[in-house]
Amino acid sequence: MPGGLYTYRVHGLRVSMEAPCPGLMLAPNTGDTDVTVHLGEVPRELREPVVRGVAYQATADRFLLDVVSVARFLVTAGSEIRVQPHSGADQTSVQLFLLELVMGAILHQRGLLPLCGSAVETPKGAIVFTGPPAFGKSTLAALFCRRGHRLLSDGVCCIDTSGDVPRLQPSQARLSLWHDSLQRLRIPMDGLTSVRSVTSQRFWCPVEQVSNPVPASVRAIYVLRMQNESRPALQKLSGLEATRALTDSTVLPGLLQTAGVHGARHFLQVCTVARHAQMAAVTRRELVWELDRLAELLEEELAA
Amino acid sequence: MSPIVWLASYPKSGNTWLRAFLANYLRDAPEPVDVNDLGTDGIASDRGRFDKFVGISSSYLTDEEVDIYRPGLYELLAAHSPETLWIKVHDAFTRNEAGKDLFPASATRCALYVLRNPLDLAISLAHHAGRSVERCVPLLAEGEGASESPKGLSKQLRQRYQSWSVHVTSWLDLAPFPVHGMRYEDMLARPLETFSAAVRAAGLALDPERVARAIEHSRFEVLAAQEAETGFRERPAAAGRFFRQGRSGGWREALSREQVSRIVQANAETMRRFGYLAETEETEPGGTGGDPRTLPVQ
Repeated sequence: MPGGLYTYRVHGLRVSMEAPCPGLMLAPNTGDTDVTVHLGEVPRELREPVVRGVAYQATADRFLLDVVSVARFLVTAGSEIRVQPHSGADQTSVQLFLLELVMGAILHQRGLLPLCGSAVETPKGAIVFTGPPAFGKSTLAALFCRRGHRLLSDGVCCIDTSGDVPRLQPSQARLSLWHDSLQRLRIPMDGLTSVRSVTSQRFWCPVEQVSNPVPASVRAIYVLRMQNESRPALQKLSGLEATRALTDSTVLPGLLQTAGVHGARHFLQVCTVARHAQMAAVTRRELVWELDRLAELLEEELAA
Repeated sequence: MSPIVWLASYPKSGNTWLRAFLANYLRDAPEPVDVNDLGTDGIASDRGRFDKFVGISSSYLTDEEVDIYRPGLYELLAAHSPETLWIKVHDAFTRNEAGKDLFPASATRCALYVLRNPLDLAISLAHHAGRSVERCVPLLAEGEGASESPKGLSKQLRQRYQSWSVHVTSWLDLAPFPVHGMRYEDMLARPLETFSAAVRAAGLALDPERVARAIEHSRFEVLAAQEAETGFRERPAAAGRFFRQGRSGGWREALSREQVSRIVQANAETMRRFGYLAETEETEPGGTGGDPRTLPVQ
């Protein structure tokens, strides 16, 4: 497929766009692309959608997302993204939703497993932090980067289960961190850009970029949980608990029902990941800063 | 019939007590239901449920954008649930920027609305939020602020409480579906009568023996003992205990004259309407001896 003006390497895919997208890893423009992003008219409804969320509709190979005041996105066959920005939408917002949810839909359609979370590479393989928003995924990744590990992805983590072991595809070289995390990490906010101009609490924080990123085998997945009644704790997950945690952490879980196709494949994917990777629930308390202690605990756990 | 029954109230008005009663009434087990397993259907402002069913991470949206999606979320939940959904809500009954009711009639069977003397609420809210009473008074009086997370992102979506009287009247007077009002003070003083009326209003078959058993299993002492033994996962990080005293009239020992005056002046009409400000107590406001029959039940 012919490319656009800008070609980036995102989750191991060559993605071509008509506009530059800061924070992504540039790919050599060889002409071929896996995914093309372009502006165009997007319908308000899909014909005969199989699943419907409040903001999206989907069939087995089409996904339509409408983000209020930002844009409508149409994803087709894992290879094409059409974008129709809403009136007054800013480019930063359009790119944010494009790189998170819309790329998540692309990965689903291509048979890859997109997890919500952040990932870093350690000498023993990739470790993924997953869990609900603002539970500390990106902050833990930042703490691991400070300890000398390399950032692989933030926001969406793409796992390829087609080989002999699950592998995580590197993505972007920046973290999105909340204002309070930046303060805790003593990262100066000068020069950082907000992830969306209309929300001022979350910022892009660039990290060192490697020139030739390669996929990393998935060593461990830590599922962050918040529980006020508990002390910080680490509890191993296996079997049904592990597969359920992975399903809960999947980007756009509603799509797993699509014509039964994504659902069956997804089940095999999470079983494969749960079989190969160490999985644990990491419980932390609300309003208590203990992520640096958690990072130490997890490093000790990995070294054991 | 639309499946959502809203269990609505200003925070710390007795909502959890009502949910514990309903859980015990619906299960009718020989032992009290575990307070950490009430089996009701969460809170309307649950961020995780929003993200899952809307399909967009609310952490990337403004509060106003989130509110645009909320009516559709409740319609989707209602459309996919074959059973009654008992959903707690602390928001006032409001509309979003698109002019749609946040809690649409199309998804709703009815609401049970619990109200409590705002003078007692000031004390409970302060303990709940780990704040001084002084900081809670402007919320009850003028509706200043919503439930916003002071640091980063909360597990809840933004909830717009408004002042106490705006909250009460928004649900009892403006909601376009049946709303059954019940006073916390009557839940304490006349539990059998008050909870029986709630059972009927929710469209459940009334079984007086079952009501009595559910009242016994959801007594304050039972809930507090469960919290002491196993903790309560809905307890905010800032609060020492969730189930603290379970009584009315504590404001008389805890509020200053200025604090009482500010809350009463701002909410006098609604307080009087619901028996919290009897004509004879104008000089010393806050009486709780109002006639429960004056409470409008729609």
